Amino acid sequence: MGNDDRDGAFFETLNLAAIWKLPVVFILENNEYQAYTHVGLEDATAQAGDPLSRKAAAFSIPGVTVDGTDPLLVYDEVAKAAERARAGNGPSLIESKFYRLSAHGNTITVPPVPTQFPEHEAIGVYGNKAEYRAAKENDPLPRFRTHLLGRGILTEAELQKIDNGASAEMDAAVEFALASPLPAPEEATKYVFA
Amino acid sequence: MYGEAIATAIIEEMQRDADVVFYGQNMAMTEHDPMLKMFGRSRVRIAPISETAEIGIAVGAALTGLRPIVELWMSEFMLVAMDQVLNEAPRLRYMSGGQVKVPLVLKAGYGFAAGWGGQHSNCIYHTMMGIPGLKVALPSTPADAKGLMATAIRDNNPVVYLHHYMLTLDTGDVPEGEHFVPFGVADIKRAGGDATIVATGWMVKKSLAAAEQLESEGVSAEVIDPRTLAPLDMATIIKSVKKTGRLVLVDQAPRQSSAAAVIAAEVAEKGFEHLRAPIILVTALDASVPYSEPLESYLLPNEEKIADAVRSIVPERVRARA
Repeated sequence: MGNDDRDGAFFETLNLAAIWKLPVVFILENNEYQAYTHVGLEDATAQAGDPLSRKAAAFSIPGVTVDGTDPLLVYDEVAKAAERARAGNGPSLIESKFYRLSAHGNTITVPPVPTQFPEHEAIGVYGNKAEYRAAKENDPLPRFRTHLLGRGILTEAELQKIDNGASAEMDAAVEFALASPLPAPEEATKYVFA
Repeated sequence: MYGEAIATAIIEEMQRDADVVFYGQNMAMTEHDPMLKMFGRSRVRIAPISETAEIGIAVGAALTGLRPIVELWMSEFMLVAMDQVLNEAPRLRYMSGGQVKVPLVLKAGYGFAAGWGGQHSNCIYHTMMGIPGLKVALPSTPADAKGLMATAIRDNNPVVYLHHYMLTLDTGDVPEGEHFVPFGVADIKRAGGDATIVATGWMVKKSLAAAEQLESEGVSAEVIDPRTLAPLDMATIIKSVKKTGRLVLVDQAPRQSSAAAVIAAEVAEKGFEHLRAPIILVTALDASVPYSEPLESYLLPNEEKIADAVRSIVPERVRARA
């Protein structure tokens, strides 16, 4: 879930899942921003300075907030919640706190104005360069890399191999997409019904 | 400009009437927001991503005498709150025997056709026009954009005001100061004698371009923009059909949920004796709008499809005049 905890569907689903004791782990990814709006401007729990996992209390289910930039901490909390779900004790809510490092998406433009990829909202809307810089420095990928190296779990060469493999996979996907012919126009109506 | 004309109408109405309030998501986010500076936080607000609450609160506020305008950005976001849009706002005036007024405006863009995919490109006005008590306005020019918004704000009924995304940057003369476009009054955007084309929003522009092309072939097409689908000015359309005897209905919505289907039925019943050819519908195909560009343009009406539809019902002898 993204910013759905401001939406009726979130509350209805948690209530129903709790009543039916569904084996569900709800993970609320709090990346601090809606499209352009900071969470503190539109979420009462966040505005009060409380963790979003507190919303779980309304449904009498466990709620916990975890540092979402640390995969090991996330693993531990999700494992606990999954165990609870599998044991038939019902759903849990986990708020995974991190930061969306890229802008929400391209700006809505009308042809022929070219698509624009704006600055991150922290800077573009709120002029908050310091917040964005701090988030950038907290980028979980290089941090976890350092962790793996420091603990001797992976070597620099092994990490490089993973990096190269991921890059090659992406490059191949881009190349495939660009080289593929555009679909035949008649396909527009082909998948209306399965 | 079309987009600016809408904003101007809102600002002018807010300056005139302190009961007009304006709120929605992703707006008035910082203290530098121009409208926030003009009217203050009590009248201009950012709302959470909670359409049900945003529109439900607007209904309540309207009942107490305020005139809320809700910024919804994309018309599909209204689908989250269909109970409030279709079953609350438009029912209360009628069910109270006219004792209450529900003056609110639901403002949303629609019809984006630039690769925005199946969930952000739709035309859902047919659903709205089918609900008694809900008014539906769809401006096709900057002047109409301003005039219809001003009328919407002063109307005592809920109004769905749909502005077409593809027209946002269109330029044109916009009257200064108070300017109203009455609801339920169609505008003849181009006069002609051989065929009548009815279109709304972006399709008016496409139809005018098609009419231009047809003119060079000796075919004179009249282009009518109803401007509001509810109320719908059938009299102007029937009068035109009486003159031309031929009708092409252009609609960006899928055929099965088009305003064109409603207009066609009205003309078949009330103007049958004037028709010299079958009514032709040029609509989107009955599919979701695809992301891929060639698929999207295959699906949607365009200038060429409109011109072809007119050619198909105008006899050779008319075209031979050229």
